[in-house]
Amino acid sequence: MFGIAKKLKAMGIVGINKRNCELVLPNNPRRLYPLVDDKLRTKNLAGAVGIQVPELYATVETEHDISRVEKMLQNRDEFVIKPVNGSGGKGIIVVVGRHKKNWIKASGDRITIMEIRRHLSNILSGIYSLGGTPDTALIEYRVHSHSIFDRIAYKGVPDVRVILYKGIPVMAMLRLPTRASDGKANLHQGAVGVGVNLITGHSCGAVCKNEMIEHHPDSDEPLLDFQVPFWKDLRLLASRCYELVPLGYLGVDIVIDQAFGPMVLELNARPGLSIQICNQRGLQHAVDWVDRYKEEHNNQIPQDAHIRSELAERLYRDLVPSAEVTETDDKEQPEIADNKP
Amino acid sequence: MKSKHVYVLAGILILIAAVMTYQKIFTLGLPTAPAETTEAWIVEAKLNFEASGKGAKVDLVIPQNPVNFLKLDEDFIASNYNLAIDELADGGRNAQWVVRRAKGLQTLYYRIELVPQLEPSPNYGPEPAFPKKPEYIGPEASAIKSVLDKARDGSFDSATLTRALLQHLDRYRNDEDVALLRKNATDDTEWVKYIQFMLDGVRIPSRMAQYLILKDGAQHEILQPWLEIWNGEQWLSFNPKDGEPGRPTNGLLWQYGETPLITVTGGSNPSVDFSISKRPRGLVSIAKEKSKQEASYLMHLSLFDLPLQLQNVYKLLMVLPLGALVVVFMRVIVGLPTFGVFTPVLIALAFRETNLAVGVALFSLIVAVALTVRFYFERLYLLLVPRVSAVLIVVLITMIAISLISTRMNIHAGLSISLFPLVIITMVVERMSVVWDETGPKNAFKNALGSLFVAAICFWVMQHPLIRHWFFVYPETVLTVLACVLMLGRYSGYRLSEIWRFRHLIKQPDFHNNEQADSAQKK
Repeated sequence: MFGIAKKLKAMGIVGINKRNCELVLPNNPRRLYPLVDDKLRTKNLAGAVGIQVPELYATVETEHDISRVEKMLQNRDEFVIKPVNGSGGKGIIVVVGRHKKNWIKASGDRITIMEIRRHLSNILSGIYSLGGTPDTALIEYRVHSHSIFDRIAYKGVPDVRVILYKGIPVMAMLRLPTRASDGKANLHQGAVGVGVNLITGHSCGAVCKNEMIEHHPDSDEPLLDFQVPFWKDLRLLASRCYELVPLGYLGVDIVIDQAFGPMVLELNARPGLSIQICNQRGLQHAVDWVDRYKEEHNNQIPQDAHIRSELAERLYRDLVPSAEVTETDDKEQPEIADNKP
Repeated sequence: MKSKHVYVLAGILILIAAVMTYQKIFTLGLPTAPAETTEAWIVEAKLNFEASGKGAKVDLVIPQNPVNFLKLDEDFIASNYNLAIDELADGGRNAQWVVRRAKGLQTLYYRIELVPQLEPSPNYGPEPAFPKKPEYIGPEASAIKSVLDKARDGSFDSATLTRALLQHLDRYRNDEDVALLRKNATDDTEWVKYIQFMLDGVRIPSRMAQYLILKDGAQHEILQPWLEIWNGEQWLSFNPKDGEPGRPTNGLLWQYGETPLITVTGGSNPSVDFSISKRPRGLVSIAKEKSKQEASYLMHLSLFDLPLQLQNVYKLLMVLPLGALVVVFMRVIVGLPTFGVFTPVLIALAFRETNLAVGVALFSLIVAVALTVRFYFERLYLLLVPRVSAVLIVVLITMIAISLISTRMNIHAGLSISLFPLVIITMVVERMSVVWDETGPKNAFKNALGSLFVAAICFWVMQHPLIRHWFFVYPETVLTVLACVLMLGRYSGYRLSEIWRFRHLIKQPDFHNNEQADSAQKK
């Protein structure tokens, strides 16, 4: 037992106590939490500095707004309804198409306008928010998963979680929904987690339900040679989120849209630790690397997100000696249909 | 930095608690275990006299604060008599019963309950004046002189002289001088008085102490005279018979001097009859008594000073921190999932009303029923607060049903359920269904079992008699718990569950090696 703990420590694996004690509590001031918990505020902040986010169609704050929104929705075939203060993906409805007067959900079920009205009403009453406080609903653009993911993502939209420590990307993983996770990109529910090479965006090991795998459990597609498209843009996008919300330990969830490329979906003030399993390395070494860097540079972390994003490469090279090997086949970038919204 | 600060703080808290506990145990003699008892002496003085038919007044000398005993309780039993108690100059007390009209044989009782002191206090009493040298006359004079001279040889202070004198008077009873002197005393009291008379000749201040020797089951005991001399600093006790220094063993100092024990006006034939018995008495009840009598700062911080009703509340509350500590340990070190932070402690409190096995069974049953109904309510799209209230009512109805059924079936465990806290169960149902919805039934059951398991441990800890006793008698132990909680607050190591969670990270290289070894073998 203690032998395992010792080895984990040597690997730099961070446990929950350590995360809370040494990463979250000292680096994440409580007053900034509302910025990440409130999806609307995150979205507005991001939009203000030009960070790409799914377009906001409408917000619903009162029962009265529901009728107004209803008219607006008549012109839309696809959209997502979310509670602003929801957690764990609760209360999210993804509408993917139209069938006569009704809409079709991602699951394939029909949904009527009455059901949508009731759902909005439920969100307002606070059913999905923590502590049952009254909430706001937001209706936004439905992300179309990039076609490169078609064969390795079951139904849902895969996303990339990047962890920033003091603004520098220190670890990243790609989360692929599976049949078992019911299209959700949540590792606890059986989604596949793929560790990502911070330099190139190549996958470096995949995990499903804590087991190392090499192929996607549903499609049997190989996962090990996969490369996340627009990796450098994505990494930069993640780094820029630190300017938005200066939390020292921050998780950024990014989706890659077929039309618009990387988009920030959500920020997280206390990102989980499974990312260490997919990457086969601990966060502690990266955290130490950043702290050392900061000390060597007059206690300063570069203001420029580009420099911070580049620093991730240096960090990765220092921590993962075998990182360079995969850099060679970085030429082939998938095409983007249209990079501007 | 912060960790160091916390550890220093924790250290200080533990130190304070340890010092207070140490003092309570070793200077106040508070018991460390709940069942500890000590022998308490019960002395009963039975007063008899023949009343003349008019008013009567009875004076009885009673002890005040016996030097080597702690007074737990005393009773004065006399119907129709008015009682007045006066303190005497020598430290004793006088109890005076007065009655307007009494005829025939009168019986009054004085009862005192005592326990031996761990550290007897020294003899008290004011510094006496030095006695005048008496004029000894006749053959007595030369005998006293010869005896005192012999005692003076080989003694260097008043204590050794007194001892030598008493020893001489004891050992050489056949000696002419001693025999002559002994003729002057007919009983022990007279003899002590005569010794005092001799000590006056060498100007040693002395006094007579009267002890009641405590023997279990003794009847008709009488007071034993003892000798005390002043050595210039304090009063020293000597056995007047053989000169051994010290108080009599199990001797209860009843009074000083030769004031008659009982004086009756308006009556005749007064007599006092002592009977003595022993009985075990809980140390806690003694400690309570002690807290009243001793003005120790520690006892001001004692819960024994509170009214009994409040004491009972605190008996329960004092162990809650320990329950919280168990939860902290289980979550931070072990990593067991539980609903909320204090739900297990609250469930454990609920178990107090039943017992553990019945408690767990009833709890599971009620939660299962309420959860089922809760899922039905879910489909009605109720708002949060009305929904929780509805669940509360369902829990109540379930409890009523269980009580009714078990009463019909003559199972009494069901009756205690009526005190099974309603709100706690409701909250558990609500939390469980939220977890069920958000992360699936597996997680909900995991959390429920985790909570139940932690609750069982909390229950065991919180109902343990030794622990309950300890926290109530030594409330400062809470500081130690606080220190532990603070230190656990800075624990940044792995949880046991995480070692399990991350185990694949470690086994990976081994796994590959084994595979290679396997394939190599196949070739």
